[in-house]
Amino acid sequence: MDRDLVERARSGDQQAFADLVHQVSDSLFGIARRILRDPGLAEDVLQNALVTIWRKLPHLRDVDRFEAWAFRIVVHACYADAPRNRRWAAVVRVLPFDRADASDDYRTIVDRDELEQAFRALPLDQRAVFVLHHHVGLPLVAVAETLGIPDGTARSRLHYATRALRAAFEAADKQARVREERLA
Amino acid sequence: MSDRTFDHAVREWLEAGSDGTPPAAIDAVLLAVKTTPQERDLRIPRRFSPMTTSMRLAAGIAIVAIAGVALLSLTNKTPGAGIGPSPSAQPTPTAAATPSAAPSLAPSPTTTTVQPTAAPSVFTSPLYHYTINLPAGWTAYPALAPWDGKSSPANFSSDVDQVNSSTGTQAWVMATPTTKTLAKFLADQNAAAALEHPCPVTPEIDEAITIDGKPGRLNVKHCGILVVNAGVIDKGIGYLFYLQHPPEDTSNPEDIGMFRTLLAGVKLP
Repeated sequence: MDRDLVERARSGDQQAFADLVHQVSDSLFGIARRILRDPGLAEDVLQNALVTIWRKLPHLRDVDRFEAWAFRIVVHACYADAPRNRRWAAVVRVLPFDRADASDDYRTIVDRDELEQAFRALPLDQRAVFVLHHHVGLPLVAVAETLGIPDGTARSRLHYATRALRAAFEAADKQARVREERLA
Repeated sequence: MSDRTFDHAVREWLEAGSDGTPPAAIDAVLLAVKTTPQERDLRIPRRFSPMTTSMRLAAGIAIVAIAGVALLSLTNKTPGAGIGPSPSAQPTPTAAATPSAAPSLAPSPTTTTVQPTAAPSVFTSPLYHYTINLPAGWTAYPALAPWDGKSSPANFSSDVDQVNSSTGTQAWVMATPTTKTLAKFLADQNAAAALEHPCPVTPEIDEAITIDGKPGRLNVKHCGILVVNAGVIDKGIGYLFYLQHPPEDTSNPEDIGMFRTLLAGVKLP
């Protein structure tokens, strides 16, 4: 992250902020999209989060912490906007039931569907920890610090999210095996 | 159990799709910024004006007075109240299983997650009733449902007690009533693991150990990742303990050492 850019944006330089937005928007959008599972909603959340970042930048004491601070704002924007916007995208896929030679494809689709459904059933705070840890690659201690929660809470949230996804994956696996036995 | 397939599937699913921000979204933000003022940083200056000598004196008297009142209120408290170590973060031991003719694993009502503590702690399994000493920084997550005794539950399965270190080591434990010998119990579990996970049927290391003074066996195998497991049977209940340390793919003597340390702190009901 360009320290000078953050400092200039903090002091009200709109061009510096525009450059900063181009640097961080993809990673912030990626986080919002993964937590919310809806690109349209993630776009709305990103816009709100970026405007919040602009407004609150003068309060940022340590410019080296900009990225973590921005992650926190985008996660909180997800929390704030998700309950109000229930326009979850419908996931419609055509499953290749008739293709006996496509068991790998079938498995991949079933796996993804089950994981998707299980993830959508998770509370947003568990999703946020999972995404920051597995997608962004933050260690759990850093996830806790970013979200302003105790380490143990971050651990618990990650654990329960992983457990739910594991159960969904195993269900998908069973489903795929049954299908393979039928086709055999 | 190690499960590269699960990790792989989750990674593929999570990373699917594009993270490219739609340009219209950025344009909208930059347009909004033009008309949105930044909030003023209202940090309070350290001092509005220099302090006079009389102000310093008054401030000093006030501080001494406040300290005196605080001290008095502390010394007037009932002896014992508020003094001494704070309540332990260790879990309350759960009730032992009711003795009965047939071995059973009746769940106790407590299913609280044990949060990591700076000091070692003791986890009592609400479902399987053993206790295990956890090193500092470990977290325990009790099983939510009993193990069927046939499948080979992986880490994070709902039928295992999971204990995780702060550095990524994962251990998990399950138990079931059994009439099998220890050798048969472990052989069946190894066969189930080979069916459900990329594990060999025969472990690379198989050695005799004791768990809480009872004869057990420790197995080491590679399932795409090093997996150490141990089994013991006591009072008609078969217990299985597992440990792995993702993402290491090779044998790590420290992990086996950690597993032995954990097993040494196991007390069977």
